[in-house]
This record gives sequence, C-alpha cells and structure tokens, in this order.
Amino acid sequence: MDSKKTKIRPRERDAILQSLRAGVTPRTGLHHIQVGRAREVEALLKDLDRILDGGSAFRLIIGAYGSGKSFFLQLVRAIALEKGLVTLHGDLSPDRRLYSTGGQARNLYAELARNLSTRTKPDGGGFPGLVERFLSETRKETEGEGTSMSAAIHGRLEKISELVGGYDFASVIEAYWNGYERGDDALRANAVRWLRGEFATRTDARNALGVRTIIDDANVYDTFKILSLFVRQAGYGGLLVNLDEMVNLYKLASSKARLSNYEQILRMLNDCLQGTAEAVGFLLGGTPDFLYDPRKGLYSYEALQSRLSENTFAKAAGVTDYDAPILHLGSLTPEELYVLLGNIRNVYASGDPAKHLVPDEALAAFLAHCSQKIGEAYFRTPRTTIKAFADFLAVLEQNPDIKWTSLIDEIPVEEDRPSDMPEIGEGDGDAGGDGLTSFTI
Amino acid sequence: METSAGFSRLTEGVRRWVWKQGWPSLREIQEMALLPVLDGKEDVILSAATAGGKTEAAFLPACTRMAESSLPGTAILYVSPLKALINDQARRLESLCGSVGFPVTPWHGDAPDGGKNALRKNPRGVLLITPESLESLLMNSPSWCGEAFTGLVNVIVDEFHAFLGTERGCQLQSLLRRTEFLIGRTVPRIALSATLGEMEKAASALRPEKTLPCRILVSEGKGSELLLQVRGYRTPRADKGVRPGLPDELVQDAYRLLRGDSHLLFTNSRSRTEELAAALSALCDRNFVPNEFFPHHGSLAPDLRRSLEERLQKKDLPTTAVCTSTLELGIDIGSVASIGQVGEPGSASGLRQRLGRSGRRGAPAVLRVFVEEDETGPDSHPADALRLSLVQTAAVLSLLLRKWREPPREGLYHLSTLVQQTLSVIAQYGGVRADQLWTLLCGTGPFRAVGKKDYGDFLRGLGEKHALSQLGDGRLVLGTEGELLTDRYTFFTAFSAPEEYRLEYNGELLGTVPLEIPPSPGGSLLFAGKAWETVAVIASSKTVLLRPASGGTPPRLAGGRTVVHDTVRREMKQVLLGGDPPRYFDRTAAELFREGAERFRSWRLGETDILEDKGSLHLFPWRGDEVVEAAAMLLRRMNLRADTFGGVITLPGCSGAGLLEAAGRTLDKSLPSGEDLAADVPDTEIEKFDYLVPERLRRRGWAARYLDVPGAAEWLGSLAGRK
Repeated sequence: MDSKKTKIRPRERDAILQSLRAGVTPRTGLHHIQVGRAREVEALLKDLDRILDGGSAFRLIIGAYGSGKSFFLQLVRAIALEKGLVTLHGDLSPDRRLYSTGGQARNLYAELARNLSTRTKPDGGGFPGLVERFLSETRKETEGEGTSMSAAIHGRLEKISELVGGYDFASVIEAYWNGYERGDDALRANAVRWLRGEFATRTDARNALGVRTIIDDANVYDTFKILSLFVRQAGYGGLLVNLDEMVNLYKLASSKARLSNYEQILRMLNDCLQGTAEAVGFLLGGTPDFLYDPRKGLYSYEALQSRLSENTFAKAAGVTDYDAPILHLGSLTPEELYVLLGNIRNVYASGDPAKHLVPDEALAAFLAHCSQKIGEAYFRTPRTTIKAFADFLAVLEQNPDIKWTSLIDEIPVEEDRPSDMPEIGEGDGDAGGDGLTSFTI
Repeated sequence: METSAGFSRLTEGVRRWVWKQGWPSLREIQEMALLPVLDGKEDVILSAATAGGKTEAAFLPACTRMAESSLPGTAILYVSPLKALINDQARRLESLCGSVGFPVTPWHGDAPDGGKNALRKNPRGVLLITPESLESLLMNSPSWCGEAFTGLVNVIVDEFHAFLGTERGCQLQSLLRRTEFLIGRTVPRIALSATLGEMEKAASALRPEKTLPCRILVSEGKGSELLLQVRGYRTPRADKGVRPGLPDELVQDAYRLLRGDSHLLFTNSRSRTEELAAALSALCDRNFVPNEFFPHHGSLAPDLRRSLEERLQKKDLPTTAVCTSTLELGIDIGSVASIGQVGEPGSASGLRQRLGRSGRRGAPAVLRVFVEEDETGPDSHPADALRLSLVQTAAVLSLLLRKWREPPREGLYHLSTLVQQTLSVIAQYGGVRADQLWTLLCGTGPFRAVGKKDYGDFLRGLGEKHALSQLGDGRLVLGTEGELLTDRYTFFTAFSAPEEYRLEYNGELLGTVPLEIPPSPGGSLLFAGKAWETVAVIASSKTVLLRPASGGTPPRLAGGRTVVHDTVRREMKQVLLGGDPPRYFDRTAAELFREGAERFRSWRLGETDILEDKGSLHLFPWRGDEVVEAAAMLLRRMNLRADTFGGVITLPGCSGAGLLEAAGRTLDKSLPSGEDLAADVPDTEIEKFDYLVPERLRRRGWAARYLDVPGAAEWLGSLAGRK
C-alpha cells in the first residue's frame, strides 16, 4: 500500500480516528488503514464490474466475531460508490429483518433507505437526490421529444411498472414531480416518505399520494429489484445492498420466522445465480454460526445448503475458490495487525512519516502488551487492540512530554466479550477462578 | 371523617375520593401504610385479615405517588396470582385511579384486547397482571417494557402468601428483578398478604437481593370467623386384596351437606377424587336430581377441567368440585360456600389457602374435614391403632387456629424455574453471556443457592439437551429445543400439576397415586388396601412396578403423599399426650381419637420412640418428613429394610439391638450429603422443567427440598444414646 506517501486531509483524519476510538468501522478513508485481503478485494471488484455491466452478484461474507466483516463491507461499499453505484447498507437486528409480519421487515427497509448513498452523498440521505437525478434525466428526454413529463416518467419506468409494486412506485415518482412543479413541498416530502418505507398504513398512503399500496413487510425484496432498475434509469451503474449482522436471523427465537427470512435469502441467491436480477449485488455479512449451524443456520435450510455448498474441487486441491458465493474472511495475522497499527500511526501523522508519534519498536511492544493481557484474542478480534492503540496515540499526542515506554503498560486492554444484554454490574468479581467469563458449553 | 397527618399528604383527588366513600375513618392498616409508602424509600408488607382494606392501604398512597410523578409510562405494576382477582380489582380500582385521572388496565390471558392495545400504544396508569403475562411481556416485548416501565413508582404484589416458597413465587422474584434491571433502578414494592408465620422470611422473599429495606406492617383486626367440624368414619376392615370402598355414611353425609350450593371438596389423591365424585353423582341420579358433583384433577382432560372451572366462575348453578391440590394452583374459580377435606390435611398453610376460597363477603368460612379410620384388629399397623389420620388432622387444625403456618422454605434451588428464567432472559435479549446470566439470576437475583461453577454445569446440561447453544463469540442463544419450548404459551407457567405415579402389577394398571418421594426398589407401598413391594421405578413414564408384599398389614396413612412439617409432627405427639379430642370433633371422631390416645399411653410412646411389635420395630421420630425420610435412607444404607408410613419408620424383622448397632455405624462414618443420598432415589424429576436439569444438580435440589440429613443424624444419635 502506498498510503504512507499520501497526505491525509484533516477532516478525513479526524473522522477515521474518532471511529477507531469508538470501536466502530470508519465511514471514509478506509483505504488509509486497510491491510491484507488482496484476493478478497479483487474478487469483489469483479463483482462490482459485473453489476456495472447489468449483471448481478451475491456474496456471503463469513468471518468470526471481530474478524473485520463490517470493515470489509464498508470498504467494498466505498469502492462501489467511487465506481458510480448506488448503495444501501444496514445492520439486521431483532427489530430489523428481511421478512416479518410485525413491521420488522419494513423497519429494515426504512433503515436501508435512510442510508441510501451515492458518490456525492456517501453517508446516506441520498434518496431525494436520486429521484431528482432521475427527473432531470427524464426532462432532458422530454425536451428533445416534446412529450409530457408524466408520460415520460411512466415511459421510462415501464419495465418497473411490470414488477410487483412497480406501478405505485412509478406513481409516487410522478407525485414527486408534481410536487416539484407546483411547489407543493408537502407532496414531495410525502413521496420521499413513501419511498423510504415510512408510511405505516395503506390508508395514510392513499390519502397522501393516491396510491393503494405501501412498501411493507412482504415486499421488501421486490422493492430492491425495483430500485436496481430505477438507479440505472437515473444514470447510475447499479445497486449494491450490504446487509450486516445477519446472525440476528439465526437468533430469531421462532423457527418459522427464521425460515421465512432464509427464504428471502434464497430468492436473492436464485435471482442472482439465474440472472433474473439486473444490476444489483447483495453482500451479506455473518458469522460462521449463521451459515453452518445445522440446526438453526442457513445450512439448516436444505435448498440453501445445496446451492451454497463449497467447491469440493477447490477444497480437495487445497485452494480457495474466490468466485464461490461464500467468501471467508480469516482473522488478521499478527503481521497484518502490525501493518495495521503502522497505518493508524500514519493517519495520526496525517500521512507524514516525519510526524510519527512512536517508532516501530513501539508497535511491536504494543502488540506484545496486548497479547500478554488478552492472549491471542488481540489479533483474532482486533477491534479492542485497535481501539486501545488509538487511545494510546491520543494520549501521546496530547502529552508530548510522556514517553511511550512509560505509558505502554498503563493502557487497559479488555477482551471483547459481546452480548445483547446490557452489562450488569454489582455482581461478585470473578475471584474464585471457577467463574464463567470464558465459559463454553 | 377524622383525618391524620398522613392523610393530609395524600393528593387532593385521592382525598376527595376517600371523602366520597363516606368512611368514618381510615382503617388501621391504611393509616399505617400511608407514610412508608408515600416516602417510597422502602418495601412494605401489609398484613391484615381479609376484607381489612389492604388494597386501599396500598393504593391510596401509591395513587398519590402516581399523580405526583412526572415520569412517563405505566406508574403502578400490580401482580396477582389470580385472573378473577385482577378482574375484581380492576372494577374496584377504577374510581380511585380515575379520581386522579389514570386508567386501570387488566392484563392476562382472558383480559379484553381493547385495554391491552390501548396500553400498548400509550402506557399509563395502573397495570394489573399475572406473573405469566408479565413473563410473556418481558420475553416478547422487551423494548416496549423498557419504555412502559421506565416511570414505575410502585410494584404491588397481591396474595403474597400464595407465592411464598413456590416455583411461581420464585418466578415472580426473578421477573421483578429483571424488570428493575431493564429500567435500571429499584422500585419500592408493596406486598399484600394474609398473616404469615415468620414475617422476616417473607421480607426476604419479597426482595431476595435486599437492595431496599423492608417494613412489615401487621394489623391484627378481628380476624374472620371460621366454622369448623371434623367428622370421623369407621371403615370396616376389608378382606385381603379387596379395595376398601368409601364408607357409605361419608358419601351420604357429603351429599346431604353439600348439595344445593357451591363447594370445593378436596381429597388427597386422584383415585379418591374419582371414586368420591362418581359415588356422589350416582347418588344424584338415584334421587332424580341434576348432578352437581364433578371431579377435578391433573389427569382429567383439560376441556373437562375448564368447563368445570367455568361453571364455578359463572356461579349460576350449584356446583361442587371434588378435587385434588391441582385446584390450588392458580386456578380462578371465585369463592364458594364451604370447603370440604376428605382425609387428613397435610399442611396448615395449604389448608389456609383452601379456606381462602370460602367465606363470601363477610360470611364465615366453613370447613368440614371427613376422616376415615379403619376398624383395627390384632394385626393392624401401630399407625392405624394410634389413629394417626385423626391425630394429624387435630394437630394441623390446632396449629391453624393458633395462626401458625409452615414458614416459607429457604435455601431451595428452584432449578426448574431457573431453567425457565435462563431461557426467558436469553429469548428476551437474543444472545447473552454466561457470566451475565449468572449475575442477573443468581448473583443479584433470587437463585442465590446456585454458584458459578454449578451454573456452568447447569448451562452445559441445557446445551446437551439443545435447550440452548453457543455462538462462536461466546454468546448463548436458544437452541432448537429451547425455541420450541419458548414458542408455546405454556412456557410462561413455572409450575405444573404434580404428576401422579402409575402403579403396575404384572402389566396391569392398578391405579395412580401422588408420591412426592417414590419408593426405592424393595421398598413398600400401600395401595388399594394392600401392601406392595416395589420392583422397579421407571422415571420417564412415572411408573412404579409392584408385586404383592409378604406379611404385615400396612397402615392406612401411607407416606410420601405430602411433606409434613416438623412442627406438625411434634404437635401430633403433644395432641396424643393431651389425650382429649378437640371440641370440634364429632362423636365418632372423638371416639376414634380416644382409642388412639389410649394406645399411645399403653405403649408408653410418650417416653420412648421405639415400639417392638410382632417381630418388627416401629420407630416414632415425631419429626418432619425431611428427617424421617433421611433417617430411613440412612438405615437402608446399613442394609436394613426400612419403610416409612406417615412419619413412622417400620423395620420388619429387626431387633432393638440390630437397630442400635446400625444407628451407631451410621454415625461413626462421615455422613453422606443430601445430594449423595438422593442418588438412592429412582426419580428426582418433580417440577416442570426438571428434565432439563443435569442429574447431579437435580439431586442436590431434590435433597434440599426433601431431606434433612443432619436432623436425621441427630435423631439417630438420640436413639443410640449419643449426642
């Protein structure tokens, strides 16, 4: 990577550091810190090109907790935006699923739609811009041919109108145009609300926009397909949908609910593999449990297991098939983590090696410190190591008279122990040694 | 009306409501409760007689706090064991809570959806709920609960005594702990209770985590009136092998006394229930009157049980339910004219609870106990000759009248309920770490007896049974079995009707009996008037294989049915020492009792605990079943045959010297732990989710409930003349 030579703009620098210290994936400037994963990135670049060509892509990004799935998905998303794709991204949660009957699927869609991003709006909120770009493309057409705007909108969306929910989608786009023309901001706002899945009842939608349907639990996936055609009509290359934290489907307590969600994944996979989906890609991030668990994971769904089962030839030959729908992200190696710390140091120095806060020995010493504190978790789940390192550099930056050697042992590194329940204090410490902190069934 | 300083601190709407009731003054308990509840710095237990105004005592100040609170959401969470009580209270509280402008919402399985939906949209005011519905809400709507309960000013638990020491009570403790954890603060609790034996134990049952102090307020009041009679019946000695029927006189009396109104008639087993209900309805047929006697027990089809419960709830037809203790378990039937009890009552608190169903609106509670005693002959068992059924009845009633109740059991493991709570917490949050579960439920929750190491084993056991599984990152999630369990509405109930054992001989079903402690192979059991020897116990199908036992006549009062408390047994000895029947015994009962007391004197059982009789030894510890069972198990480990019948240990073919030698040897060795002794018990699956608990822990939990090994050793020591 040649990032060490590039200057990093202060705003980008601060955004990256803020995210790292909060333990979350940065939204921008990921290339400044990215290490390794060259083959994986290459495979995804091919996917993006295929989407740009009007094709489709489906990938399950599988990695253990903390292996960097979210980072990888963000990285691919950033590249996709650069290449002129529109992206949707969001985490699944107990309240956000692919399919449901209690509003959770619409919640997921609403989250994704809020996060709709384009190159000029990389952090979400891109839906109005997308619609306006479509309308200006359409207007260019009417200017040439002298047709009415309404006819032109429906003409360009003819293909969409044939899809489930497509006719109302086209009508809502037209309503947006009407609102624009008449200066009716409320109408325009309602159209955007409809597109973002924020109408909860059909009655409300009919009163506001005159359409009979809304984007609801049952038609979330169909709406992805509509959007993929729509972004092409607006002049973008295609649509990339990133769904992270898929393990939340695994955790659904009802097997019926889980299977109906897995069914939606099967639809995606089928449409992508059979070529019926156009200009759209799906990247699904999840843990090995989510995929492999034979009782509750994707593999418990027979139809998915047979379509996803790994390339036995590649396995026999001891190589990885990077074209398979399942992409494994291994843990970072200690060496890669070393490079990563170097990159973080470089971001602190705004890309100027002369301003490095610590010498190379400090990187090695820091890793040794982490290894001693939390064992091999320091590179298996590098989030805490990275967070601690960013904190370490922050202290040194603010206190130039402290020597790194005296500070390093003071830096607390805690093992990353995830839970969906808030932490509970006041319990006894784990003094007895027969505690449950590293419990395994 | 007269007003006090506390009264003036009530909010205006509440004061106006009180004036409108036209009360001359507040009741004692209401006056006592004002300031402690208003201050909101401690939990409060309000104990007073029924109809003593406990509900208002809690709600007058609690409604004031609700009106003065600025927090959003539901303000008062009221938990009751009974749906019917919730419906009653909802009507009763509407005007009081309305006086400060807040709604009252009943919430249980049969509550109207309109109110529930309104509360879901806009949580406000008072929520009246059962533990089961609260469980369901916490598990299935945790984020709603987090918001709706954020402004709680008080939690009120009604019929608190009914929760004590039970699985359901333990579930409630856990639910309240989880609610407080969810909203991140403690909420003062108010418990409404009948008078209890040991109030301090009740305080620690209200909040085992002791994060708030507890104030106990007792108003003695006048107490409710009780009409009481014990009727004795002589059962003719049956020929060997013939099952003795119910005394005809008893059936006639029950028919005569109970027809025409609604009653509950409790028996001590399902077969007795069936028999009695059949005899009573046959009598109705014979007299050309509509049948009003229906059986109710755990193995009846749910439809039949429900239609009987509905008939009792509607109250438009006179109905007598002939029932087992299943009717005690949170089944709503409203109140009845009287309570009947066939056979000796097992505990004072159980009897008190049954009595709570009788005594409508100021009318006295009525209790009739029908006790059978066999005609005795030369080969009768000493327990029969002593008339122990009647003696136990006298002891329990005498304790009941002296307001003694079995104190709530402490130090129990409640592992079955821990299974439920563990799965429920996991379902509530999605994926939870083992250490967090332990801290929430055991470390700072009601399952204090379970340490970290044991909880680890417990979770691994649940994993083996696929109740839960673990993600690669350590989080525990529901397993396939856990999903199936939590998906059913029956999951929310912590208790189950006790299962009865099937008794089989030569592949033929003899009948079913409720046994808390199943006999070990080789042990004796009495059924249908015959003595049987246990060949094997099949735990999975709750079946005991029997063959006829040789020699000796078993007593009527067979052991193992309910656990009789130490104090009851000690009282039995006192009753026999006194020698006179209580005045509420009828003529036959008194006669029978005198026969027993005479035997007691002639056998000098006041001075010795040992009786040698026809080549067998009979031991009379006069101690609770935990001691008696543990002592018998210890003696069995010394290769003695030891059968227990109603607190009496019988050692066939044993001499006094042999016994002393065995007792000595037991004490010379180090005592086995309860967990170790429980390994001799063929079946320790008692409670609803016990089948998911690893065996070692289940044995320990079982022993904590049913065995008192040190007590047994102490008694054996006193026999052997050692300290």
